[in-house]
Amino acid sequence: MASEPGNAGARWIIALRRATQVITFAAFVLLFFGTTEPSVQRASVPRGFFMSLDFLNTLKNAIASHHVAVYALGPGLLILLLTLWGGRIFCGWLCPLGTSIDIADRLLFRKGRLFYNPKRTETRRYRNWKYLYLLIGLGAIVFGVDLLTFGDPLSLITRTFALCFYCPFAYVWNGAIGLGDHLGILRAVARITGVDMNSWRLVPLAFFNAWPALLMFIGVIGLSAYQERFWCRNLCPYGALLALLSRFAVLRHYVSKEGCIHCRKCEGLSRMGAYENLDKRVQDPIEHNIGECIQCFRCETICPPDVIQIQARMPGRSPDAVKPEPQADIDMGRRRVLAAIGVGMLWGATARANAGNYLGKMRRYAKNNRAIRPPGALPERQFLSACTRCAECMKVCPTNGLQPALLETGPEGFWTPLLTPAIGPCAEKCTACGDVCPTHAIRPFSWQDKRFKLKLGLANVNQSTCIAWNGGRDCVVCAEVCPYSAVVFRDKMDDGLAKDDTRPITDPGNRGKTKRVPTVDEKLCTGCGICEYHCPVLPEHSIVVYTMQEDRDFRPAQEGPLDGFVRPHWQSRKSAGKDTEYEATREEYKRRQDAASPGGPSSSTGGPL
Amino acid sequence: MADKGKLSRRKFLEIAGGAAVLGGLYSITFQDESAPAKPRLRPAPAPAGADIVAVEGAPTDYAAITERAINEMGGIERFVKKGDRVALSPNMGWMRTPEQAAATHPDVLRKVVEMCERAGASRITCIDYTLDDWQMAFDICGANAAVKGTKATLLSPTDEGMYREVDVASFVPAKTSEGAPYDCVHRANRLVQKVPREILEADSFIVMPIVKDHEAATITISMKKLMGNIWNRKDYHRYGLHPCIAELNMALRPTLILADATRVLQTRGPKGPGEVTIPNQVVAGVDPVAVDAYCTRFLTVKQITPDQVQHLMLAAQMGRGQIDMDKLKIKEISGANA
Repeated sequence: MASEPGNAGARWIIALRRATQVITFAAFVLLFFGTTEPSVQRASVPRGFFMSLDFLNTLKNAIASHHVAVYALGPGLLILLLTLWGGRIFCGWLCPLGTSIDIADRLLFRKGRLFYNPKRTETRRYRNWKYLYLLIGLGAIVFGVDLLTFGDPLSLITRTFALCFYCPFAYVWNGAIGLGDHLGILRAVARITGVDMNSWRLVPLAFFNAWPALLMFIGVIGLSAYQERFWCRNLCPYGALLALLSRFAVLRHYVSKEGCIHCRKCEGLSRMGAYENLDKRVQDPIEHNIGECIQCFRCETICPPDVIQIQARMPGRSPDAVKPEPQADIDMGRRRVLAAIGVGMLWGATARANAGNYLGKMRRYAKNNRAIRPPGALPERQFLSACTRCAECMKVCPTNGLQPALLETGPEGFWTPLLTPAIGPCAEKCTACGDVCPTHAIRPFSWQDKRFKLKLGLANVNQSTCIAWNGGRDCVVCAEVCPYSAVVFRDKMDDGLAKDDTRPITDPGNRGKTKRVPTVDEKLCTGCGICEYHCPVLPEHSIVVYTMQEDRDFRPAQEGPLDGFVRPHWQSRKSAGKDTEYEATREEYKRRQDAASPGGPSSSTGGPL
Repeated sequence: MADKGKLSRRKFLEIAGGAAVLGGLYSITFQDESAPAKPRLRPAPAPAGADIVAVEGAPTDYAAITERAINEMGGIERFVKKGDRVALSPNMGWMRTPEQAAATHPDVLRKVVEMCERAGASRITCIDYTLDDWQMAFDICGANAAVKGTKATLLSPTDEGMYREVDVASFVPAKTSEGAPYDCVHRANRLVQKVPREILEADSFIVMPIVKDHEAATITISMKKLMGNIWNRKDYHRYGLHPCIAELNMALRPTLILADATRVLQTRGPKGPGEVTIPNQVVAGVDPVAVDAYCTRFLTVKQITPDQVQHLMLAAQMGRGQIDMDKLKIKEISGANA
């Protein structure tokens, strides 16, 4: 090892960086599985930690809602301060997506590996794409159209894990438990230790439209074959934001010109192609672009004459103080910056002016009447701008009912959660999606709120297929499972049924029979879809939830600059009277409970029923 | 070494063979067993003394009257042998408190679990495939607290892999006991039914229903309770509950039935909340038709009689049990110690 060039001390820093990356990634994975239902109810894990590191989320939410969410600033602000001190340390040391790319790099693209390409480290083109993307996205978010969310690194990696990695993992994990069950291992374990490993089964989730997320992740990894960390160099919008800030960073690279032998090793091995102009003009100063550098410290370890020093020196007052390397300007004129913002604003305004958003009086509702949003979801317009498409809600949904949208709510709604009751309903006392949502696009709610203050939609009975309406058979499943007593049965005389089944209906006097048919009480129905899920008519259920009458003006208990995102529009619109509006429903519910229970009027509507 | 890094044929075969073995081993976890399973439950012992035992006691004595009822049936040892795997099937699938009478009383459940433990059961599993969220349902109906500290486990088999197919139609006779032809709904509609492996592989299967009204099936006692375990319940609603329940009861034969009539949900069953009466009784027996027919007397508000319940009549016609109360030996006891 003694013959190796470079700074021995920096190797320790590299080891430290690798350890940090591994630990952060492990923490990410642990927190990921820590937020799966049912663990979300058991342990109080810091669920939103990684998403809260994403200042870009906070920034665009602030622009979209015209309010700064002080609550959400915390860790993201720390990342900004870290960047002001040390550049893009976040990208190189902490970002789980960056670590994934590094891991894939090691497995696929290094020398001797499958997709090795010797040129890929020296390429420095397309750098401005990330700035263009950021600017276009910031332009569009002014109108509440969120383009940045597709490329936001933390959303991207969380979404990929949730939609593409969790499901096969749970499948294999449950399969392994099933294998142990078949072979009798679990029984032996249970006999000896008393642990029933059957309860370790994960919720087996499955998602529609997981493939776009997988394709995107494969693309992010695959682009590294062309340029090392292509995504971080050229496309990542959060990287672009941090790059702009890191131009003021203190932790800089100092290269002493006298010792440099122009071997170009630093240029070739820089992960981000941060060194420039080493070959063309040997006499010129070496340029190290701090905005592109992710502080991986590789250059300091491999420099043969050891002339590269990475040091944090406060800017010196004296004229003879050592100066850091000069910064190359971002190769983007003012005109292109303005053009990018303009393109974004045009995009956002056009999307916002889409006729699909204006359907007369119904303009508050999505045009797709099956696009049911999760409980607590903001009004559609704010929801689309606040949702960061991280799929956390879909992952924690214990019934698997939340599914990523494709184009059901338009191109802006790509990957947003939709409740699909045929796959899984909104479980009565579950509040998981509101608990995990990192941007409060799904506001935190209690299960009592779900009963009285939210409305996801309204169940509709299809009388042509319902086996009670049409066939006159006894089937009370929808009423049986409805936790809100909203499905009511009525006796109805049907002339199309025979009084006595054994005789033909044409017999005299045999026509007409009373049947019990389900109807939905619109006051009590919240549109949770449990009836649809359990309806025995297949494949098209007879009782189906549509978005009609959905109500998303819910105001959570905690709300304010210090303890939640502030959403001005719905707040002002419905600041008065939500509770009184639902007093009728509450009364009606209580009346029915009292009528049904033997012990006189029940005192509480809030307790477990 | 020109061959370095290359795969020799032997190595290749080793890897391929190993992968095939591992894959085959793993794949059985996802496969349905090809042949339908037959329950290996021990047949219920012939009744000793009485066909049906009904014990009444104060609300504080539910555990004691449960024990008394089982003892009157000949003791738990007749039904659970040492080392047996016991499957209990109580009602615990609803997010309803014990007072609302939608689930078996926790005291009754706990007493039966304790008695099974005392009889030397090697494994006790309480199974109910819940309609509500199982964690909350177990919690609210008191089942979680009831099995705490015992070796019983609660199970809601929500995964299809925990089930095995049972050919229900093969258990159904072609003719009723009176000689009339019987058209088996399971066969006619090719209904496939799956039963949890825990039940199929158990030695002893104790059904512990609560006596309730049911808006679709008229009553839900021990015969309807078996529907709380099976996988494909939707088709039963579709093709008619009553014949399906009767046929299912031909295939699945509980070792012991313990009907909990301590509190009875009279209206708006099976989930309630509805009108509740408190007869304070526990009924034990081995004949599901007889027990259910006896227990209809607790449904006083709607005044249900056995002949109004189609699945009871059907099962009686198929010879599953005795619906005529006059032909049964019934022991009615007041108090746990009297």
